Amino acid sequence: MDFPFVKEAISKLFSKPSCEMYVPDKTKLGAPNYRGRIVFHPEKCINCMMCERVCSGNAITHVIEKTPEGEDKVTRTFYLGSCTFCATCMDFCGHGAIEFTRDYHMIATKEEDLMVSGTFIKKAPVKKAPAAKPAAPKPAAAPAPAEGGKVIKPRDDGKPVQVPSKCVYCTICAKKCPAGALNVDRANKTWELDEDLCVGCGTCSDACPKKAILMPGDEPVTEGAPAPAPAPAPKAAPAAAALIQPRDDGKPVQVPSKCVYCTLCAKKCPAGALTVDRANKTWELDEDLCVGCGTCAEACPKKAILMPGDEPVAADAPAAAPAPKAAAPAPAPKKEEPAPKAEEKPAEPAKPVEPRDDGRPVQDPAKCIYCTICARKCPVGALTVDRAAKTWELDESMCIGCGNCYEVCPKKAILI
Amino acid sequence: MFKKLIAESTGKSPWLFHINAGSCNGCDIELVSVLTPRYDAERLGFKLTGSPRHADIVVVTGPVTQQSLNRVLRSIEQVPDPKCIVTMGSCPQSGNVFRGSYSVAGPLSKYVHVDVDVAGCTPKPEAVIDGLYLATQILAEKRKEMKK
Amino acid sequence: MDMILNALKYLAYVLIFPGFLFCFLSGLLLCGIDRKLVARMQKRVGPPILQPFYDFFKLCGKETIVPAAANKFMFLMAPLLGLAALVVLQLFIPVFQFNIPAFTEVADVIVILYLLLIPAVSIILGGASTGSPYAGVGLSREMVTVLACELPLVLVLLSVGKVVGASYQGGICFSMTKIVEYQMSHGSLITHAGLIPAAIAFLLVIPGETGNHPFDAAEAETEICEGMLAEYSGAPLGVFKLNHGIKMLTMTSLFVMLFFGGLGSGIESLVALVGLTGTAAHMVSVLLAVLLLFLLCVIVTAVGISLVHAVTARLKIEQIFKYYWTVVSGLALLSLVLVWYGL
Repeated sequence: MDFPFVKEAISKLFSKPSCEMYVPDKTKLGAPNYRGRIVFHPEKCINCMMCERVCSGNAITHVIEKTPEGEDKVTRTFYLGSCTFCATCMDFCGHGAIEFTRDYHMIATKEEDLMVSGTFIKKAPVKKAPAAKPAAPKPAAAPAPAEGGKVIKPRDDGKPVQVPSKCVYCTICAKKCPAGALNVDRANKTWELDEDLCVGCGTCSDACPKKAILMPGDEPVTEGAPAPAPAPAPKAAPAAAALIQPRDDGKPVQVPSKCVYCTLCAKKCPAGALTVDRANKTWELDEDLCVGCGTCAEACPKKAILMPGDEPVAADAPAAAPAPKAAAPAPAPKKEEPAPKAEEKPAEPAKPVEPRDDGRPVQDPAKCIYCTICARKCPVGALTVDRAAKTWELDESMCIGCGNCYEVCPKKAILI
Repeated sequence: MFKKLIAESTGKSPWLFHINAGSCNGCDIELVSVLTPRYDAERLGFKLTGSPRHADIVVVTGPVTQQSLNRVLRSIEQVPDPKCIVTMGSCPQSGNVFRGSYSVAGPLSKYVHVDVDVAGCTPKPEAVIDGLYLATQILAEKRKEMKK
Repeated sequence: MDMILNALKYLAYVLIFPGFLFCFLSGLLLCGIDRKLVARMQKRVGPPILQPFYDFFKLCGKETIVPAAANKFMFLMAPLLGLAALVVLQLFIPVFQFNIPAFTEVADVIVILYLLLIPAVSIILGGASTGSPYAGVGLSREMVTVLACELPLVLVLLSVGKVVGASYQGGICFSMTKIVEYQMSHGSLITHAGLIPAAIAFLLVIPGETGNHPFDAAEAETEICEGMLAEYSGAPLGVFKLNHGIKMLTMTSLFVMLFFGGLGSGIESLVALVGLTGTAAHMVSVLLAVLLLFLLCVIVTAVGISLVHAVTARLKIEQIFKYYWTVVSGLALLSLVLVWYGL
C-alpha cells in the first residue's frame, strides 16, 4: 500500500492556503479578453439587424416605434440570460455598437436585471444639399444634357442603386452582401435587390470595383455612357482582317504585339484570374475567375488589354495603328496616341544604336543629356542615371519593358 | 435562544443540490470547480449533498429537457423549506441555443419560482459564488418569513 | 431527600457532564476541527470550526419531511436511539482517573463494544424504515462495515485486557476502570511494546467505525445519495450528523483511555502544587483532565481521521471488508500473540 500524499498533506497543513478569498466585490473584472456583460452603444447602431440574425441564442430583440416626426425609434435589447457570449454579434457589427466587457457579475433575482438595452432614433436618410459637395452638381449636370441619358440618383431609403452603364455584373457585391439581398447574374446581366433583406449597410457599394452602386450621399450619375462605346467596334471590324476584337462577354483580351508580359495586370487583378509568365511570354485568363471588372486594362502600361468598348487592334502592332483613327469619337483613341508614335520611332533609326528585341529600352548616348527624367518616371526603378558622371544604367532584372522611359524622354534618346 | 441560533445559522450552512437538466456539462464542471482549493466555497459553508432532502439551495443547469422536466420538478419538490432555486448558466433561464427545440421544455421559470439567475455560458466560478452568496442571503430572509 | 439529590446528580451526569451537553459541544467541535484540518491539508482555507454547529441548527430549522412509505415512529425515533446509546457510552468511558463509579463499575469493555453497535443499528433501522432503495443499498454496506470493524476491535480489546489482566488476578480484564488504574501505576499502554500494533489497528478502526472518509461507502453521497440518510431531512438528519460527531468523540476518547490513560496521573499533584484543596481542587483537576482528554482526542482525530481522509479516495465495500479482515486484523492478532506470550 502506498500513500504518496501523506507527506504533501502534512506539509500543506503548515503552508499558506491557495484560496482566492471571496469578497462580494462587483467591480472585479475578468481576465483580459473575457467576454462578459454586453454593452450596447445605441448611437452607433444603424439597425441593420445583422446581430439578431447571427445570434445563436435568439438573445437580441428589437422594438420599433414611430415618432411624431415619422422617424423610427428603435429599442434593441440583449437578454443575457439567453446569451452564449460567443461574440458573433460583435464580430458582425460593422459599426462597433456591441461591446463585450470583462464584467462577469451577471447575477440577477429578476429577469429584467439581465436585460441590456439601448434606444436610438433611426434618422431618415439625409438628402445631400448641393452646398455640401460643390463638385457634385457639375459632373452630374454637364453630361446630362449632352447625352440626353437618364440620371440615376441614389435612393433616399438608404438602400443601394445600380448604375447599369458602369456595372460589369462581376457579382462581387452579391458575394459581399452580409444579408444576401443581392442577386446578380453575370450571363443574363441582371442585378436584383431584395428590398426585404437589404439592411442598407453599404457594403456592396464599398466592394464595387467599378463604383456602379450608389448609396445615399453619393453623386447622381448620368446613364448613357455605354451606348456610344460599343458602336465603333463593329465599324472597325471589317477594316482589317487580323484585328483583335474586344470580347463581348465583358472579359479582357490581350494584344500580344503590345504586351510586354510585365505581370502588372496579374498583380492588380482582384479575382486572381490572370496568370502571366514573363520568361515564357504567356498570358492566360481563367475564365471562371474573371469578373470582367477591367482593372487589368486600366493597370496595363502598354494598353495591351482590350475591354468591351475598346477599339479592335490589329494583331501585329505597328500596322494596326491606323485602325483606331477611323473610329475617332470614342474616348479610347486618346489613350492610344502613344502607339502610333511608338511605331514611328523604330522605323526611323539609321543609327548605330539598335533597339533590343526583348522590349527593354536602349540608350542613345549621342542624344542623351542625362536629365534623369527617365529614371524618375520608371515605375519599377530599374534605371539609374547620374547626371554628373554621365552614366545611364539599366537593371535588366527589374525592367518590365513598359516603355515609360521612352515616352518621357525629351530628347528621344531611348529606343525600344 | 434556540430560535436565534437557528436564524443565525440558516445563512451560514447552505447545502447545495445540483440537478443536471440536460446540461452540456460546462456548468456542471464549473460548479464543482467552485469547491476546489482555488475558490473553496466550503469556506462559506457550502457543501454538495447527494440527496434533495438535505439541500437548501438547488442549482439547476441545462435547458430543462422534456425527459428531465418531471424529474427536476419532483426533485425540487422534495427539498424541505426554506429552499432557494438557483439557475446556473443561460440554459435554464431561457433555453439558450436550444430555445425552441422540440425536446426542450424550459425555461425553468415557467414551472417554479427561480430565486437567483447566474448568467453566463458558462459563468465564471467567481460569478457562481456571487450567485450562491446572494442565495444564502435570500435563504436567511425566507427563514425569517417562515417564522412569521 | 438524599434520593432526590442523588437523582438530580445523576440527571446532571446524564444531561450535562459527561452526558449530553458535553457530548454535543465537544463532538460537534471535534467534527469542525476535522473538517478544518482536512481542508488545510488540501491547501484550502476550509469552513469555520463552528460549521457543524451552524449545520445542526440550520437543520433544526428546516422542514422535516416524513416519506409516505416510512414507518413514522421508527423513522423519527431511530436518530434519538443512536444519540441515547452514544451518550450512555460516553458515561462509561472514564476521564483518566475521574470516573463515576455508579456507571463505570457496572459496565466494562464488553458493554462498550455492544453499545458501539447501537448507533450503527439505529442508522440501519432509520434507513430501512424509509423503504428507499438507496437506503437499502446503504444499510447493507453499513452492516458489512460494522462487521468488518468488529473483528479487529475485539482483538485489540482482548490484547489490552490480557496485558492489564496479567498484573491483576490473571486472565483477561475487561474493566475500563482497571485498565486506567493499571496505566496510572504502570505508565500508558502505548509504551508497552507488544501493544503498539494493537494501537495502530485501533487507530485504523476509528474512521471505519465512525463512517469517515475512505470507509464511508455506506453514505457515499455521489453514488447512492447518502445511503440510509437519503430520505432524512430537518431535525432528524441533524441528530444523525450530531451522532456522527459524538461517535468521533467516543472512539477517540476510547483510544486515549486505552493507550494514553497514564497521562492524567500528574494532574492531581499538579493541582495540589498550586495550593488548592478540597472540592475546588477536585473541580479544577477534573476540568484539567477533560481539557487534556479533548486535546488528545483532537490529536487522534488529526492523525486517525483527518489525515486518512485527506490522502485517500473512497474504497469499495469489498475493499473495506478485505482491508479490515486482513491488514488491520492481522496487526491486532500480532499484538494479541505477542501479549499472550508476555511481551
